[in-house]
Amino acid sequence: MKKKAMVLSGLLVMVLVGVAFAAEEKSELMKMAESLPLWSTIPFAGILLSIALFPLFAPRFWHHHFGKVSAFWAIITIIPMLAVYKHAGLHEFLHIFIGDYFPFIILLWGLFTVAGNIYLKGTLVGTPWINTGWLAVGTGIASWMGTTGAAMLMIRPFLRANRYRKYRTFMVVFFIFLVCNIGGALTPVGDPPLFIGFLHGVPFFWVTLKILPHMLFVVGCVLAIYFVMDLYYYKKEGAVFTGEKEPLGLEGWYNFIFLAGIVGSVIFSGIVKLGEVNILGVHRTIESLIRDGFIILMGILSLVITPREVREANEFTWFPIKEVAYLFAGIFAAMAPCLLILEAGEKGAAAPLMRAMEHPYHYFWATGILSSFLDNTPTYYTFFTSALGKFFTGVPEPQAVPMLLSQKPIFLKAISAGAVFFGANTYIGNAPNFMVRSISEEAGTPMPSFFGYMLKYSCTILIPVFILVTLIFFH
Amino acid sequence: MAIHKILFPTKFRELSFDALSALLELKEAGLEEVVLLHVIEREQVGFVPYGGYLKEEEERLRDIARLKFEEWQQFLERKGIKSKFHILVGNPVPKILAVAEEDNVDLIVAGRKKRQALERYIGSSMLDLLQRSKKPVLVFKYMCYDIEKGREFCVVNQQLCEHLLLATDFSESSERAFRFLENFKGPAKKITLLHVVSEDLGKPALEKEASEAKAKLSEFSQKLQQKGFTSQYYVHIGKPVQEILKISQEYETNMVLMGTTGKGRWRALWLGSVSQRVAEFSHLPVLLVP
Repeated sequence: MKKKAMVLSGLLVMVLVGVAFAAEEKSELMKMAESLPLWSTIPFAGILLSIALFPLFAPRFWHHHFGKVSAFWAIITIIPMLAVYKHAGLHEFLHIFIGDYFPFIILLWGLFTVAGNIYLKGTLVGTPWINTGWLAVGTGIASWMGTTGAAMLMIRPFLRANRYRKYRTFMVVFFIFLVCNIGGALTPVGDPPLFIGFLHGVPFFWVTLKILPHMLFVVGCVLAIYFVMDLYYYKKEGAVFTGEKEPLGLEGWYNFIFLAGIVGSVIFSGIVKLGEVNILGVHRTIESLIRDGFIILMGILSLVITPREVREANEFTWFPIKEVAYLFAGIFAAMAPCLLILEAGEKGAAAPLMRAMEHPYHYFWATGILSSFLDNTPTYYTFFTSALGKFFTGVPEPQAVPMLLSQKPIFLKAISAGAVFFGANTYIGNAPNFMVRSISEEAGTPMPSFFGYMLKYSCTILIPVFILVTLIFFH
Repeated sequence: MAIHKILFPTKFRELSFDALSALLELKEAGLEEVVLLHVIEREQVGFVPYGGYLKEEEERLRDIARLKFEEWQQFLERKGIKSKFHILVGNPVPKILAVAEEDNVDLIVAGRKKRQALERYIGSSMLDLLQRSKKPVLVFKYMCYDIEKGREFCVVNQQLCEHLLLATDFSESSERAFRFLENFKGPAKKITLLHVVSEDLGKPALEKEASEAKAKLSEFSQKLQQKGFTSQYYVHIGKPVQEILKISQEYETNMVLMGTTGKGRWRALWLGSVSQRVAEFSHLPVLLVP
């Protein structure tokens, strides 16, 4: 009995010490968040502007040195934070990398690898009906295999199908709109920003149910515009397909099983609660570790089982995913001060911004405009944190997120829709945009310049549709 | 099988042109045409992070390659060899294999990067090529550096065909390598045949295999002599890779010929194959016949 009491009191002491440490850690973090000056976000702005401007003005330099540029912005964020905030600063970076960055990259890697092992062969003839159907299918699968995966699977057959057409630039632009961006709006697997939301407690099917009306509206409008344009150019060209028709076929079809495994593991990690483990002072749930391990396993199995020739037919290369991994390591590090300031809500340096952001359409457009020019993942995370900071200042995230979902869901809908939809506005809004551009240009389909894309397509097609979305859903 | 047309993929590294010049010795073996190939790796021009495709960079790299190839073509023309070239963008190994099939070449000549001491002679792409090629591949090392007894030395392989070493395990691919020897009737003066009996065998089995190997090699040697080659043969006991490397140096051969068994990718990765490891570690050019 005495022994039992000793064990119980020992456990109680451990729990109390743990709670006290956690509380101290939390209050240290809040103190840090409230004391961070606005200029500490300069590296974050720097890395995002580097991503926006270097590819435009110094593409060769950027192509060869983007890793160093990313490392530079990360280092000038990390060193001062560690010097000033010591343990709290270190904890914040460990938290960002262990809790967010690695799961994020593992999911992207898994989807990229498995999708790269599926090859769609054969010849489609790119008529307006076929093309519209193709875009609809791509949009439909993007939420279930990731926008990057769907884009990599579908772009080459789409380009082959339309090789005989004279005007095909607009087709690739619409492909970027729909398959690379808008189609990913329905699940956390679809588009990376939504996965970040999922990692922070947004249930897997929340976006599926809540964003479906917005997504269907946007897809309906954009597909209708596409069909009219394609029909117009098809008749104008009078082009006739004369090439040899190869029957359609799917090589590596069994990779859909691995894709299902990845989606299943993400859903699993959102439903099952198995407890937590402490990794370098960062709490991670056991189910999330199982999910990450399972995604890696799916990727490895996909690589081992699929013949190399399938990847070669897809012109598969690791380069794009390596780029994303390097760049996002810098982005996640540089983002830390920014997120902390936003977490501090109206007590932090971003108080004026917090006060100004009142209505859902503010969040839709602010998240959207920034997602157009900056990558949409950090933008989503920034506004997600900002909404939590504004409405539930000081409430720990695990409690604040369910409160946001139940009390202010329209704000998260606005942020989610803004981050995903507006990523289509420019080449730099979302990672698959630039991959598709690269593949199309290599295949001989000319693509508009950065500003040409925006002025000729985004501003004239997407922005009016987004205005309608605002009026219907967020006003 | 003859060596009328060879594929010479190049990255325009140092000594590439010297390697091409040295290959002209194959003219005596029937060489008529050289297909030159340069593959611009997609990573050099594509997937600029958040950018797209560097069309101008591709054009620049194409122009550089074109100028070099045109210069090389003039040289080949002076030597009486026909030539053509391809400049492609993509993954090197699949492109090399595709061009080899499309142009129906008789031999792929794969160079290597300038090797520093203690580095392996060939990289993972070359191993990939060796494992997958259906055409014979000559792993050509124009110049190698190595360290022996603490002293660094350099080997220049200017002569290719005078003295050939055929290492055989009497497999089907070794038979094909033996038949491939006939192509060297003009330039080759001497051929050494070698079979290595594994030292892991027990004594009775070892003696039996050694005596059977001697009989077979003697038969091979006679066939070669009938075709006008000077030939000698040896049966050694030991580890095949080390013995082949040792004999190739001791007998001052110019090139090693072997058959490849075409092991699967994973098996080759874990176990390696004798032919690939010889190609990897030998100072000499190694010709592998699939």
